[in-house]
Amino acid sequence: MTQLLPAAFSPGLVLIVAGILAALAPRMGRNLLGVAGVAIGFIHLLSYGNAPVGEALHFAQSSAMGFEFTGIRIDRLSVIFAIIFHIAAMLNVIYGWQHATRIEASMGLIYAGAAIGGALAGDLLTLFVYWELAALSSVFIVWAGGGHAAFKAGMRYLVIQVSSGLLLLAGIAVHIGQGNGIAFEAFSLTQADGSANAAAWLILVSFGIKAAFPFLHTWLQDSYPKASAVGAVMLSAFTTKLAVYTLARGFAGTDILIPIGAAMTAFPVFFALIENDLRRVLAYSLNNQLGFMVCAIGIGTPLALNGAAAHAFVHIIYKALLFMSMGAVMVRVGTTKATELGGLHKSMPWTTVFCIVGAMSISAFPLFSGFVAKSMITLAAAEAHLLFAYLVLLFASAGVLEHSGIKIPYFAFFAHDNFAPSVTGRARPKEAPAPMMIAMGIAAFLCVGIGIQPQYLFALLPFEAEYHAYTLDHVVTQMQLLLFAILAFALLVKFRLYPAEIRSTNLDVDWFWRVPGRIGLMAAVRGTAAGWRRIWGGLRRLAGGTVRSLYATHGPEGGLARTWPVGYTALTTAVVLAVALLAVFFAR
Amino acid sequence: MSEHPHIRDDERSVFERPGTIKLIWIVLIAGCVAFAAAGFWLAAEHMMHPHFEIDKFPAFYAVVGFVSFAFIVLAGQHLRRILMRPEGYYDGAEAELPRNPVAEDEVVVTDMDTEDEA
Repeated sequence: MTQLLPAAFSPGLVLIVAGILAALAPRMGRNLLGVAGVAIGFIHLLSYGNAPVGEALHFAQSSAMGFEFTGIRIDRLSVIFAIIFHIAAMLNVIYGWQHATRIEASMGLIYAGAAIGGALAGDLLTLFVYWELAALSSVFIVWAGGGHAAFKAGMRYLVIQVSSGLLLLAGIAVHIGQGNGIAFEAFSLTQADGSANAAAWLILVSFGIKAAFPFLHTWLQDSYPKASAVGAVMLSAFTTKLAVYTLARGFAGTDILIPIGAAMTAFPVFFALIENDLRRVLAYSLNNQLGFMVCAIGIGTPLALNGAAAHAFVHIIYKALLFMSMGAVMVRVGTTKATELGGLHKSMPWTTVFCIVGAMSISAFPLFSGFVAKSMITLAAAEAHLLFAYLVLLFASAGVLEHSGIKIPYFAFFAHDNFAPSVTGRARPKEAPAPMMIAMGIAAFLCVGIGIQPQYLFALLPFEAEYHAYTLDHVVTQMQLLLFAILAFALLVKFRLYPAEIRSTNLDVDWFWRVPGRIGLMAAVRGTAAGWRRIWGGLRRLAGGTVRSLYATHGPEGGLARTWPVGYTALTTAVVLAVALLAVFFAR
Repeated sequence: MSEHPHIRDDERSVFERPGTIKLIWIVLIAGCVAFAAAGFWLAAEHMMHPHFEIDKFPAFYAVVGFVSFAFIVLAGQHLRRILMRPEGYYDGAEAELPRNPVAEDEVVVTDMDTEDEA
């Protein structure tokens, strides 16, 4: 296929240029630039063609300062991520048609371009540049949420994201210092002599921060719910899935990722249960979904890696769909707190339907997109005879159903009707604005389309692996899991055992740096200030004393600055003469 | 799907009528029975492909689904005793107000600035 643009020009750069221009354009210009930028980038990506399984095409190769740069690597793994990032970017443009601010529209495109450029980067230094650009562009989207809380969350987000970049850079430096090139290939956590490979560990932690590993995850739940309705949808797609891509590229088959991934699927389930803000529930749910991908990468078989890539692909769509439906609620009602919502299906029926499609996809109902991808991961765990991981993944699947499949649609659109005119005295909230409905409609269509016709997704997968989603036993076992979990929900609600939503803030591990850490930091600041004052004060006293003593002798009143009277001169002359006379007298 | 003692009858949607709720229960229980039975049938026909000892039981996934869900809800809610704090715990009440996402907010000084002045 002929190239639309020079092969050395990354599709990601197309979106970045569109994003920079969009910063200067009025709303309609921004929208058209967004559509054109994403469309041109996508066609440009397709014009490279896809590489055969196991092979890679390299473009934008150059050499500078002794490093061999590969700006663009086209292979099966990079292309599937680049494609889904384009789809997400287009959904974002449409969804924000009326509501994206100038900053969000512009930075959203740059952020998407950085993720695409990062996924296609063939060397570590190019990856680092896009890695940092993704962090820097996305923080503006957090800040665009507005208000004090969003500003502070953005600062915390920025510190954590930039730390990830610094660790990556440190890891690259050590990696090069070990005599390796900068090509981005698989790493080993141990060296040939069995000792730990510091470079690989640094890079793993860097990727782990962006992939929201346990204890490194809180930036996600902290910042995403504080972005605007449009901003949260933009944020949900790129950073974490770029990290999943880099993990799949660099650490496939690394055993430690299996327990890490399993922990990631399980712990957010409990936090999501007690959380009141439904967008924060979605952020925990995002964490849980990443766990499935990380676990699959740890298993590392071709089927598992296909599962991770497929799951990232479908997950971006249905997670965006869920965030879009909550964004529509946010726009119409002003909040996504479960305590304030309920009964919205009566006036927002389309949003309700789209949300339920997203919920059924994420819960992996047969005929929806989550089913065809997630069952690949659980099957890979079973085929590798990882019983513990398998049971945790099943447990987490029930957890997904609880917080994303049921809680989100149930508390937002059903449950207690908080918007009945006889209660509020006002008309019910209106249905979502048209552009939001169109974006949700496209995402919902893709969720169902991939669920019914998974072969188009399977054709994009990076490895050769035999897999059939729709076997009788897959469908029956999955339906058993889901229906009996729903039965448990129905019984718990009926017997009033399901916890009511409560207006609250729930602590997570970020408490450690937001409360004691902050107190410690402020104490350190005060201690440093006090110490500095003491040192500075001592220096000033010392300098002041010196100046004063110099002044005393050399100042205008000082002994050495006196004007010497004639009498004093005569006396001095007499003294000198007397001394000379005496000297002569004794010397004779 | 839930009780609304305070809203008028004409404000109830089809999903809130007792008949519909009854129908949902019937469909749900019928579905559970059907897929549990299908599991036993597939096992009898040797069309299940268990990978471990534990999943040879034909209704294994039904048990896992029910028990996991019930455990998450019944055990998870006790986390509130440890983790729950009032709204605005970190950032004050301002952070909890409904927001208009399009509104241009004024730049606000951070706590650090104010503490420095103090």
